Amino acid sequence: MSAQLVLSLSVVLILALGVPVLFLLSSKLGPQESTKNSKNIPYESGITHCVGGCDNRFSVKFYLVAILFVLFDVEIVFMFPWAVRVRELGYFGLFEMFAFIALLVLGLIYIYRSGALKWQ
Amino acid sequence: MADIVFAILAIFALVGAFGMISFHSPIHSALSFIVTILALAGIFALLSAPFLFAVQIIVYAGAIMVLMLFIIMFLNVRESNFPKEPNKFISMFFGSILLLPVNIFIVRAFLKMPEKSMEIVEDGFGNIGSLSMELFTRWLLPFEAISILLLVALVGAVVLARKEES
Amino acid sequence: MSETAVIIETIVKAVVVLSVVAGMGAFATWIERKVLAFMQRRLGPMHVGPYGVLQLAADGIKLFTKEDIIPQNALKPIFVLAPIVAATSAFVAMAAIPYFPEFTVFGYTVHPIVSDINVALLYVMGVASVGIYGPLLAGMSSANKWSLLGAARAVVQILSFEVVSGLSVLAPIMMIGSLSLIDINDFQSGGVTNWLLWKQPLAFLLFAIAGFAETNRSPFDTIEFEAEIVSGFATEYSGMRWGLFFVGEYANMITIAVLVSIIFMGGYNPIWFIPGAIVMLLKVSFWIFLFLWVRAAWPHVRPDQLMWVCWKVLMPLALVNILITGIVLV
Repeated sequence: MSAQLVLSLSVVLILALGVPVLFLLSSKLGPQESTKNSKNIPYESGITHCVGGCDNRFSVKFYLVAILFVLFDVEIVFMFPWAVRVRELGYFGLFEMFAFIALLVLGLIYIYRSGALKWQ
Repeated sequence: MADIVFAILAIFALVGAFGMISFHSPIHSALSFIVTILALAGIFALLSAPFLFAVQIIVYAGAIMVLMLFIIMFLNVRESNFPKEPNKFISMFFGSILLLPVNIFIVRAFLKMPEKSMEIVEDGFGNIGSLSMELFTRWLLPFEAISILLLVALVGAVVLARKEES
Repeated sequence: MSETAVIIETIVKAVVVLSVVAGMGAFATWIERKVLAFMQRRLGPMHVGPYGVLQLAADGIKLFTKEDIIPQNALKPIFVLAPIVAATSAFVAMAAIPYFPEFTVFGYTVHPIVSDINVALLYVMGVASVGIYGPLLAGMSSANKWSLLGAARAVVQILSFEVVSGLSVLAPIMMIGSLSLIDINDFQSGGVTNWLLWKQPLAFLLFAIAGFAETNRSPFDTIEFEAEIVSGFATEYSGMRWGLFFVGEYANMITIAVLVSIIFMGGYNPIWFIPGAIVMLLKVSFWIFLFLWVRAAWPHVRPDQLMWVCWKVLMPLALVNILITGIVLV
């Protein structure tokens, strides 16, 4: 069963990769002259190197949100097995998960209090 | 049939791993590492572990590598910032020769292992339900320890970010 | 079943799904223009064909034959890869979705699902989340300020709302006890009153909001907000490369519509005398219409408001919902 599953998934992957590539090849039907003129200059009203450089620094908030996401994603992944068997695990499982979520909420409160998610 | 699928996935995993260490630009390295991750996810699916398969995609491909690429984007490393890596492949070659005794040791240990059937366990083994019962009864303490670990990581990230700002 | 049979069956199903989705996506662009036009008392496309339907063909020809432009400072391989990733992940995610009830043709039972994975819900959400590499790589490789800003916004927004959608979907999963979309569908058999929508209204609302944000639809389209960051990560893209991002967005929209219909609105269970397949089609069409309606009716949200809503309102609500569901169930 699982070999068949992987097989069918890989067939899907190959097809799903092939269709966009075919789509892209279709541009060969149209005109081909962009190397000769200034069409392929970056979009910045014709200025080749963007004003102030393209490497503008970002707020550390972006990075912080990304790392918070990784942490919460891992927590959610652990909650899925519990969610599937809530009834069998009963009060014991519920208590375990409450403790788990309590720590998560503690982290959330810390984030709010530290002002890490204030976007101003 | 499973053998052929495994071989193809394993080749993809190895090629991705090799690409990761041999590419010069960090973006290319990260991308080829994603190939390895996806191939490993496929191997999990092949071994009747659908939950691990999904987790591998969600956590590694969907979260951790996104974070890596995101950081690469922020740092905005340019071609001129890359360290020069003269004789990279020669040093890699000699490094792998140095590691040969370790490999021989591992292979010999593997051969000494008691005989076990190497067949793929059929459905129901790596099922999310059975995994859940194991995780929340026998492996309770590690599970709760994980939440503390994640909390520590979270606080650490916030503290480091604040230090950067001030 | 032999391997060749599996391969042939998968190819047939995948081609059908791909072409239906591509067709629906293309048709949806026309519908979008028409619906928006009518909501703003305009006529929309009228000139090509009856009611402008053939506008589709005209746009298609234009898109397919448009010149391929790669800006000179771009990192070429990654620039080329980004739109392919966006479209591919959207298509691959659809493999685990059951669209219709199974039916029999010439004595052969057809399961309208390409690959029946028993953790289908996790699979669909996981693969759809891999689609984030599209905007991210596009922004990194374009060598353009707006692209970079757009990519940063895209990643932050999509990641944040993935947390919300993951948490909100947990509550219904607790009631059902399975991650298979077929089980989720069967759980709600027996009429409109059995829809999970009535038992989990909060989860439904949160999931729908997260769906809007993850597909960059208005009012959460801060990623491609023309007035602020030109065209976001897709600023440097044109022609079919840009078209692939568009295809990916519409495919994701359809996936979200199907997921909401299956998880909260009874899936493909027949209602009264209407067969399941048509019910499903109606629900998906309704959701796509809703996407457009919201776009016409709601103003944009600022990025900081978006983050505020996600982390300080929606996420705590989702957690509370899980806790309440847990207490009620056990």
